[in-house]
Amino acid sequence: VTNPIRKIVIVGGGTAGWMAAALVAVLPACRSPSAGRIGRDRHGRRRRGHRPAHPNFNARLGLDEADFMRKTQATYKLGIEFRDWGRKGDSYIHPFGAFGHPIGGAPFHQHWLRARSGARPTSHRGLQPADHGGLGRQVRPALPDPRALGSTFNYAYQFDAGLYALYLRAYAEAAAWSAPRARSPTSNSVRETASSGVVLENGERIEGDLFIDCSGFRGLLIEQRAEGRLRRLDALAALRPGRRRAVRFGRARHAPTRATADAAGWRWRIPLQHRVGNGYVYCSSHISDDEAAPPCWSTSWRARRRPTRASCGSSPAAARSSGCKNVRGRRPGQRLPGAAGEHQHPPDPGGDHHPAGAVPDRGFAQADQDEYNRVMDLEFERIRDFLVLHYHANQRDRVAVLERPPHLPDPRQPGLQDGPVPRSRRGGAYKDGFFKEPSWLAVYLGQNVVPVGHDPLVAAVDPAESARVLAELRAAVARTVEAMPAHQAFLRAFADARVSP
Amino acid sequence: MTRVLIVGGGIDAWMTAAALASAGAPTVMVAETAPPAEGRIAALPSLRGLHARLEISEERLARAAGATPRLAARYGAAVEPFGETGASLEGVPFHHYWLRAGDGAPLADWSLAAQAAARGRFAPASPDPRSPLSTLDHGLTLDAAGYADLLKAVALKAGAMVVDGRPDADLVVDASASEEPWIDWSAWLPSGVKLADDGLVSTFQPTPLNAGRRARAVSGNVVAIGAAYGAIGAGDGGDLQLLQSAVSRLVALFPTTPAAAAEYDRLSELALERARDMAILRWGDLSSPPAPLARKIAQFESRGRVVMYDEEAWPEGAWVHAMLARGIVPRRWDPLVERMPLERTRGVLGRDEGGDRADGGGDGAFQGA
Repeated sequence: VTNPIRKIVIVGGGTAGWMAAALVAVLPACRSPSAGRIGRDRHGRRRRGHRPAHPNFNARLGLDEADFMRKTQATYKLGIEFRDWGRKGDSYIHPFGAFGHPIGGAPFHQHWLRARSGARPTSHRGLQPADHGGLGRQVRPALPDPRALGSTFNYAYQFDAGLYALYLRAYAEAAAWSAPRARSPTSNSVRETASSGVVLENGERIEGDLFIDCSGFRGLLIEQRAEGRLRRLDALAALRPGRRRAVRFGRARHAPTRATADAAGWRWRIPLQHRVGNGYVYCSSHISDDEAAPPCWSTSWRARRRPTRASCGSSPAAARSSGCKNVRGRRPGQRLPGAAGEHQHPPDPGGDHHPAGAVPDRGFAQADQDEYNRVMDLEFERIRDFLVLHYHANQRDRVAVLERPPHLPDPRQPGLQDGPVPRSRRGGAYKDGFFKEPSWLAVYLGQNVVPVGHDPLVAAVDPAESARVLAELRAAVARTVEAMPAHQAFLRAFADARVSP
Repeated sequence: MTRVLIVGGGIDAWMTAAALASAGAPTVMVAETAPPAEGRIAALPSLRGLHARLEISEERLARAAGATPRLAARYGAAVEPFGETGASLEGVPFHHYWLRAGDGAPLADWSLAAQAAARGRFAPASPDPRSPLSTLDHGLTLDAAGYADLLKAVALKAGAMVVDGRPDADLVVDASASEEPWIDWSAWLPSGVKLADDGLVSTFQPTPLNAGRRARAVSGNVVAIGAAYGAIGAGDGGDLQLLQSAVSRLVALFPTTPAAAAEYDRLSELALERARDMAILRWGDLSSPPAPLARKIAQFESRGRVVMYDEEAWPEGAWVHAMLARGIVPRRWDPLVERMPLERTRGVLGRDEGGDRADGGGDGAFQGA
């Protein structure tokens, strides 16, 4: 490559910034000392958060799983429990992975739909390890054999975002990156930005070829470009993230990751090894900031912290509060948005989302920028549609935030909308977009929006035969879960944060 | 799903009938109108998926439709093989490594299918992923009339029936070439292609074409399928691939409600236009391509990236070969390939060459073909 990128500057020292830095660090172009610089933004403070990271991201960096988990207080997650979303009292699990394998050319869930409409209706519960108390257990489904049960499900991590940023920082610094040294916490914050670089509070000027903006909603660099301004995703704009709070070990320690809906929003709880995180996302037009603190939280705590939009995180839960996105990923100003900062899930570190894959050289051709932006737009809009689905696919009456407001766009996914009840079977059937068909299915079925009828291809398989396969899978899942160690026991043996190796 | 009437004939009508009847549609009626197709036609490897669903073996195809395998297609001077060419390394497609370290040899030199075809050899793909033969994939050439008859036999056995006149039906499938308001694509595609040589490396010759599509695939309770919906003259297997995907879509969505019809329309349009873009790239006029294709070409030319949209008919590898065949060569490669030292890349490319391995036995349905 002629005209290569010689120096990359990342603004923002949070998880997003260090994730981007770690990814870029594997590039030969960044092997020279001081090739990359990280500047913390003015308001940068380490936030404690809990984020799922696709194991692929860490694997790509070659991180040791046990070491990473110990140092970030990480736990495993096989799925998320959603409470009170479809109707009050409901509970369902959005598992990571597919529901079984196709039988005779028709998707597995179509067979389930047929069995459900038969004389002995069956439930889709129990077809994923997460349903069998598996949320409290752990198995690592690393089996490549597509026939193996293990290949139908997947897992994510939950970890302390601040610790993860530190962890990746150590990784990136060992590889190539440097962060400005600082005498005071603010002296290395970004004071101003210019087209050729950024100026820190301590007066130091940092220049570079490619700028990656990981400064979160403020978009310190990207906001300067008209086409890079924040665009509200109307459907979610009314929501705001509320307070977060961590509790020490309690009785709830072993409980699963959970999102519970209420009248004005929803609460999340995420167990880590050393504490359980809690938070609240609410609709500010339905509840005041003061009311938004759940009653169990102490007054003193409430007084201490104000809600802040900027604290939108990137757990699947908190992502629902991200009512905005940077409409232009990268613009003529040679800047790229933060990989994780604007993204609600860790980007695939392969070609498309790799900063270097998007930016081949210093030419910054318009066509390359357009293509990056096109893919980012698709990703965001499809994730938005999936999030919106949670709010309007439900049977709750007169519940403020869960009603579908008139301005809210239909999450018009391939074939999923057919009046109030979807008939079709193809949600998430697209190429770019994080949430694929199994995720759409989990929410629809979990929130009681069940297709009418089933795929006619199912008819080619004898009902007794598909009933047998369904029963077998359920039994196999139950057996597999029974053989798994408890989550806590697995962590203790594999990646106990209290033990330093 | 109740009564379906298919109006038309040949492969379009009988593939639809066979798929619907096998999928369990209780009443599938075919009002035969069009004369049976003639000559030999080309099919892509993906058609084997449909054959598996309809339980049509390759032996039966060889017997009834004179099926013979094809491993590659020639467009102009370039050979485009099926199957894999090289292997992705560290998540970056092979052609980027080839661009960086290649010594001017054509990309097809790293394709087992292309090398085997050039030497007149054939073996079915190996299911063992460790075997080099697992990178193979083959398409078919078929007698159009024999193939239509075979599909007809499958459809009738599955319960479809031939009817006279136009009985009432809940859904009518128009599988006849009809004269409807047409979105004209002839400026991009002044002609189509049809099979000229049906050997292991298929070649094609131009054929007259009225390229375009109907404004809508679904109108009331009538669904246009195959040539009745759109024509891109893709006698290289693209037409059959489009038909197959339309039939699957029809079975899955059964567009009798407005929402399902709109969805069927949307997906049909995407699928046809992506296949059209490939047809334009291979034998059409590139002076002012449609926007999605222009973007594809610009991105490939700029840095070897293949832009893939939803509902693509052709896999990424086919686009790489088609671009190169048309003389569109990337100016740059993905900088990520530079993580691997150049010498090592050269070593990998040297070992990766598949030419000497193409001597698997030609057992199976096509022995002696």
